[in-house]
This record gives sequence, structure tokens and C-alpha cells, in this order.
Amino acid sequence: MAGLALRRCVSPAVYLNRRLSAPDLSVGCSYHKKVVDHYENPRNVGSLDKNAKNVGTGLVGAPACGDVMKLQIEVDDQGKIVDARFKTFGCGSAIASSSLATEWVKGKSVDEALKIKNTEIAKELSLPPVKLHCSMLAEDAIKAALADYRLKQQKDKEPATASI
Amino acid sequence: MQALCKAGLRCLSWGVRNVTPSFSSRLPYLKMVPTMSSAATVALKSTGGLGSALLGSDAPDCPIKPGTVLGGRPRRGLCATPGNRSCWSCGAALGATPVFFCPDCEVVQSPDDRSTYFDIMDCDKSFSVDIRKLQRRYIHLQRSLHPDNFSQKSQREQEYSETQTALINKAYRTLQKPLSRGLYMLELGGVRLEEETGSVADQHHLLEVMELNERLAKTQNIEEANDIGLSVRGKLENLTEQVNTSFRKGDLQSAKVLLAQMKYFVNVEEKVEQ
Repeated sequence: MAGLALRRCVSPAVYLNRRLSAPDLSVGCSYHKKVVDHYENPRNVGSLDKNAKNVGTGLVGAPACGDVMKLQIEVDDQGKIVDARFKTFGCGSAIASSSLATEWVKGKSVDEALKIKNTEIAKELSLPPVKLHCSMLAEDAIKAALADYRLKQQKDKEPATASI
Repeated sequence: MQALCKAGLRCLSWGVRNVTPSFSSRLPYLKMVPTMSSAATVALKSTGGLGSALLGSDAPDCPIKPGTVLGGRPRRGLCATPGNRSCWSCGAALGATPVFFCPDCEVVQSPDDRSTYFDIMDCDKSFSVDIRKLQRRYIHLQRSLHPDNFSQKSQREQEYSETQTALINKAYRTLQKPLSRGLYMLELGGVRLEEETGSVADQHHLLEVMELNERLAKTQNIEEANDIGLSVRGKLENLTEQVNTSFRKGDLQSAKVLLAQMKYFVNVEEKVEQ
């Protein structure tokens, strides 16, 4: 158990840095190439206007490792997610998970996006068991962003229905 | 031949000495991690509520010589299985835990799974640890148990001195920092930080951490980074105080919430240092 906790909290950035600086030396413990790809070239990094009515923001954190993840979605009038952005301060797996999550939600409807499961993210990135919580963080971030969007939409509708 | 052997053993003991610190300095998170053998957890549970009664801190601060029984008062008198360990070499009863040397033949012993880090470091099981006392205890223990002292002794004694010093290092590092100490205390109390996005994480706090991280990522300026570091350290000190209060009240749940917040800030602090 202690070993597990250790491995979980050892900053993977350490490995990544080492890997990047001395690629020939680190054959043993390295990330899957998809994780490294997302880590090196993260997709959709940045922020959307969190005050916009068609933007949902999800902010989540993992208390055990202290990672924070922000994921935002922009939804058009048809309920389709047209843009997504993220910012993650955490390990390589957390960055890769959220980067992949933004790629996946784009083009989906709100209901479709809700169906994205952390297991799918973990499978796509070949995350080891100790890093599964990173993919959970990404799933929760998507859910939180969608919930925020829906809340805004409801608030928007309520006064309208009240006035009718 | 003898010279060769001696050299070999020295290398071995140097190896041990070198491995532990450099390993942990390369992996800065290591020092924050609560670690504890499951056996130790079981031990604590078996002593139950008496655990804290058994952990005194009033042992005199004296230099430790081989042959002395460290923390050696019969505090385990209340334990269900008192002093059932005996010396592997001469068979003498070892008495109160933790015992590092046999009181009879002065031979180094294997670590006792029942000892908590607080036992080993001879501290009260409380969050407010006397850091200077902890440090003194650490130095004393390392001085008497360091593998260098056993290069001429039997293989078994060498092994035990290695495992003992490794455990002492771990105990010291865990108790030294407020976060790891607090998490270890939670673990002793059977409380763990959630892996997922905890209910613990409230939005206001996360927003603050996010903003700090963003500011830190943007800045190229060392002064601003130091400013952030300063404010984070202030917050950590404040949180440490609160954690202390929670533990004193025995409120593990609120300690957990506060320690989770600390974890985020410690991460930021480490980034500032980098």
C-alpha cells in the first residue's frame, strides 16, 4: 500500500523530464507514447470566457496528489459542444487525460459528452492502475463543466418562463 | 583478502548511506508521503485506545550507546502481548518496543512491526512535534545504528542495521513535515484521503489554487515567484495551526479536509522552489 501511495505521488514530470533529456537511458518506467504525446503537445490548452452563458466550467482537484484541473466547454444553440479548453496543473497523466477529454467532447452533444467514462480515457492512454485516478479527474471535470453549463441554461430560462 | 572484504563491506554500507537521501531528493514528493507498514497499522489497532498511553515522550535525552534499550521503559505493560520478542542471537527477552539492541548481548535487532514512527522517534503521538528533539533523536539513532558501525559484524547484524536505519530515515522524514506527519496520523486513525475528486475539495479553495498556479506559470520574474511562495507559506502555516487544533480535538475529518488543502499548497510551494 505504501509503495502504491509512493508511486502515485511521485511526480511523473520527473520521469518525463528524465526521459526527454536522456531518452536512451529510460527504457524501464516510461509512459505510454500517447501520454507523452499529449504531454508534449497538449491539445486545447487555455481558457474560455467563464462568464459566457454558453460556456460551462468544471474545476476539480485530487486531494491525494494535489492536482488541479479546469475544463471548459462552449456549446452552440443546437446543444453541440463546439469548443473545449483545459488547464491542468498536475502530473503527465492528468495533463494527458484532460487533453484527450477536450478532444473527445468537441463535436459531441451535451448528452453524449456525459457518457464519456474514465475507463475509456484510461484505456486510450494505457494508464497503469496507479494513474487511474487521473482519468477519473478528467471524467469529473467533464461532468462538472456540463453541470455548470446546464445550471447556467436553467437560470437563463427561469426568468423567461416566469415572465410568460 | 581481508582488505578486499573490508572494502566490499564499506562499499555496501556507503551504498546504503548514499541511496536513501539521494533517492528522496530526486523524488521530492517522497517526503510527503505517509508510509506505514500494514503490520504497524495492525499493531496500533491491537493496542487500541491505549496506543497513546503507551507512547511517552519523557525519556531522557541521552546519547545512545549500543546495548541500551532505546525508549526503554516498560511502557508496554498494558499491551496484550507484552515483550514477546526475544533476541535472535542470545534469546534474551527484549522488553518494551522499540528495541534496537539486545540488553544482554548488545546485538542489533530487527525492526519491530508494532512500533509506529512516533514510537521509533520517541515522540508523543501528537501533531505538535518538537522538531529539535526529533532531530536529536534522529542523529542519535543514526549514530548508533548506521551500517558503517557494523562492517565488522555478522551478515545478519549488517542487514538489521540497514533495515533499521532505512526505517528511521522514513520515520524521521514522515514526522518532520507537517503534511506528511498529519497524513500519517490520519492513516494511524484509519482515515485516508480520497483518490478521486473529493467532496473535500471546495470550489473556492480550488479556484485559489488554480489562480496561484496560473500566476506562477505565467511569471518570468523571480520576485513575483518568491511573492507567491511567501503567500503560500503563510497559508501553509495557517493551515498547520488549524490542523493542530483539529488533531488536538481528535477531529480527524476536519484534519483531513485541511490536510487536503495543504497538499495543493505544498505542490505550489514546490513549484516555486523549482
